[in-house]
Amino acid sequence: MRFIAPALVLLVAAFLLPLLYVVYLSFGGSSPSLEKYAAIATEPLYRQVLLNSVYISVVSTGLTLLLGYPIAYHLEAQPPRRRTVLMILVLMPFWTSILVKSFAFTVILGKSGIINSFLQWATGMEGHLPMLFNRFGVVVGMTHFLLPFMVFTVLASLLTQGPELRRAANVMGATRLTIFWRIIFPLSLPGVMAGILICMIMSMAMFITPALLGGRGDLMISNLVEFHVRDTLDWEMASALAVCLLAITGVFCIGIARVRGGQLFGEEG
Amino acid sequence: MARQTTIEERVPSAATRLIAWLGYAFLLMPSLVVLPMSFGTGTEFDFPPKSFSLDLYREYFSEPSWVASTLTSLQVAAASAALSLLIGGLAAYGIVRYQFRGKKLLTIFLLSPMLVPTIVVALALYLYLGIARATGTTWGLILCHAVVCVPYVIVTMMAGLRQVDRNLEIAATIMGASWFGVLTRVTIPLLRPTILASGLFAFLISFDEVVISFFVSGVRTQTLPVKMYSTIHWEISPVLAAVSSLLTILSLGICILVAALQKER
Amino acid sequence: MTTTKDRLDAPTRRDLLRGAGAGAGALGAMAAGLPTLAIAQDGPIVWVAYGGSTQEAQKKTIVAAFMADTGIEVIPASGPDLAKLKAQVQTGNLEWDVIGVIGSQAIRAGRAGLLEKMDYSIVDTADLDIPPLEYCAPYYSYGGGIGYDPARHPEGRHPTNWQEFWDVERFPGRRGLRNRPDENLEMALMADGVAARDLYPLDVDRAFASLDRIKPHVSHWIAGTPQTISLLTQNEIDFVFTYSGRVEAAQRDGQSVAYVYENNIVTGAYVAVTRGSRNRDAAMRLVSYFLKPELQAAFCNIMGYGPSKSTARAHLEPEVLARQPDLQDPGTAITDVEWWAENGEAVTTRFKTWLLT
Repeated sequence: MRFIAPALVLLVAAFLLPLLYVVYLSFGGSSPSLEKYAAIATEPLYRQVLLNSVYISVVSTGLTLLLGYPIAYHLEAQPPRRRTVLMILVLMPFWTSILVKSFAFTVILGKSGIINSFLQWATGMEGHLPMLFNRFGVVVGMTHFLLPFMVFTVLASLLTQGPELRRAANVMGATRLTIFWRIIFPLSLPGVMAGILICMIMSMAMFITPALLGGRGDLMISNLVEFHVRDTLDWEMASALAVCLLAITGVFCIGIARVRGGQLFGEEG
Repeated sequence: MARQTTIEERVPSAATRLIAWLGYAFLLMPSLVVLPMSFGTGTEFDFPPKSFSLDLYREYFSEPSWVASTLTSLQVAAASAALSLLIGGLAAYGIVRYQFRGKKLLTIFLLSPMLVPTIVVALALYLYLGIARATGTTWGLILCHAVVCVPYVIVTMMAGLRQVDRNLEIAATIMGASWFGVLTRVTIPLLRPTILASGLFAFLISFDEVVISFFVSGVRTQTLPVKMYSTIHWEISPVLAAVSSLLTILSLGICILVAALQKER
Repeated sequence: MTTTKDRLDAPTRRDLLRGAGAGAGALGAMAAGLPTLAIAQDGPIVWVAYGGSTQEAQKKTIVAAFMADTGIEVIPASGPDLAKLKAQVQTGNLEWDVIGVIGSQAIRAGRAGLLEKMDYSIVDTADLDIPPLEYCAPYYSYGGGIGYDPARHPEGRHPTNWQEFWDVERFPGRRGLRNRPDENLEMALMADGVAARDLYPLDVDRAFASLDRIKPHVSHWIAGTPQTISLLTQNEIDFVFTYSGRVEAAQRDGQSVAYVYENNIVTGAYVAVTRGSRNRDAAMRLVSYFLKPELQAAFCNIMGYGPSKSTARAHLEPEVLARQPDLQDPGTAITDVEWWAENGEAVTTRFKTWLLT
């Protein structure tokens, strides 16, 4: 308990109290009302945007997992020194400003961008793949941002697996595929679940990438939170939307905890 | 023979390797576009650049506010990484090594800043620090970043601690070492890779954080991402490409150096 | 040392000076190396604006002149976020004194009690082309219009007014508009045949009906001003709504971009003073410098924007003057910030919903 105390003090003081204030604001602050929640329930904009957010988060997280798991698996198999170097590669996007990255993605994905120009040259055909200013662009941008988080969470759980089980299975004549699906993958599930959770929540909260790479339909709930925080100064509405966002992430968490037998992050040692 | 099977089971299939390398390429792609841009000229983003020069780098180093905000960022990131490593590491140690009532609930609470969208935390913290008269102070910013970094440290440290063989700690205790002795002489040395990884992670999260910093940082404590973000109302200065490339190359250099040193040991 | 800390110390120091009497005060001021007691009492002013080369140019001209004349230090900051302003006033923890603002936002912020009323006994409003407002004063104006790439769309192949911009048969190409209703509604109405002088109050239903027609041809609803230029130069769009100042900056940079100076939408840029500023009087004096014709001209000569005072035009370089949108031209629309302050929020919600469907 005494080990946890400092972290507890910090989070109660600098996280819980401010957060409670947000909840308080969402219910109308000093003049309590459910007005903002009623507006969210009746205004079609909010419902549509909530659906959008969930959809984009699920797809980005799925893609991140499909790409991130093989990377983590590949990293785990490397000798330590090579692994370090490759891990630095994975962390590379952190050093580039999100604004610059978005511009880079315009150059890469655009109609006259690198990929389309290459395809036109390679196939000799006119036309292009629409990859920018639509949902595809948003998902690519988000996946790029989320990938390091997924890779590191999965890698951590792959590295905790001892080689004994795999070796035993190998001796017993199991094929590589069987070893993966019957031993490695099930044992890495805690990491996978934690990764899914982190990516889901992070993508729900992003607002710069969808605004710069998305199409007109790719408005996310955090864009609206930002709009009410900074443009209309309607903080009660912003807080109510934030509480809805919290509720959605809460539902995610409970769902994932169910799958994992009542544990969210492997709380019990 | 045994050695061979070990290698055999650890080599991923061709398909896995292909996807992994595609993944690395995907992660690297924007940086590869930004790098040539950083050697461009002029005042607008341009790709490919019409001519090459070091103008943007010169502009970066000659403008005191760029260098100052970089230093602020490095300072804040280092301090909040150290702080969150200390208290997050202790918390992870407590969670993994001890049993106590309400442990599960407390753990979820400690990890919950990960679950709350940053724009909400940002506004709440800004109001909160305003009341406490701590907006625009470096330590206020460091505390805010620590709140965000602590959960990541706890998660990675918990995974690492479970890997450490408890029998070694128990053996040391039996030999008469105090818990502090066990922690500093046994557990921490064994944990070094994990500590390094979670520290780096915390550092990068703090260094990259823009939403909370935008609110909380003051006139003279502007971090680099905030400086970049607050000017985009009208224009994006191509100096950003130079800054990004500089940081990328720098981090690459330092990390390769660390990797090289690791081998020598 | 942080600004906030300095500024927190300031009132204490000031109170001390007052308490100790004039003699000790003058001593203190001399010790601080400042010429007179009156000036010593004006602490540094924090001035927040939108950053980038625009703020840099203001710093070099208007703000530099103010500092030289008065000896009062001005600390520039960037990112004049309304949310930060509201939080500062609400918590009483003021960081800013003078703020560069958007007119409609300033009106709303003023009504919400976040700004000081403009002191027009200090700030001179003579010869203003753009009307002064209760809570903020206009100091320059910027024109929005059609941007294009002359290499891809030479003379006769690009739209020259909003009716032509809407005419996708005659001028085929990908359009780029902003992802907010501001200026879009004005364009849509002008495209539908409303004269620039008769726009306000905006006929919102008619504007949306007109926007419906251009919607399928807009390939991106642009979030940030920088993208209006970069998408043009990266050949991702053909015709875009952008600002003359941005196009001219890109041209100076050797990019192939051009701008139509007719049928522009001209919007004022304003300065305001934070409610409860400890340096209120000094802040008002700084605002008055933003409205000095010669200083406005010096700033506009660098950036190419239009001064808010007609008397400033005499000091403009000929080539800058030639590129000013003609405010007397019946084809030029002047944004009615009062209308936007009143209707902006409702229209924005409608616009965002319209974009999603």
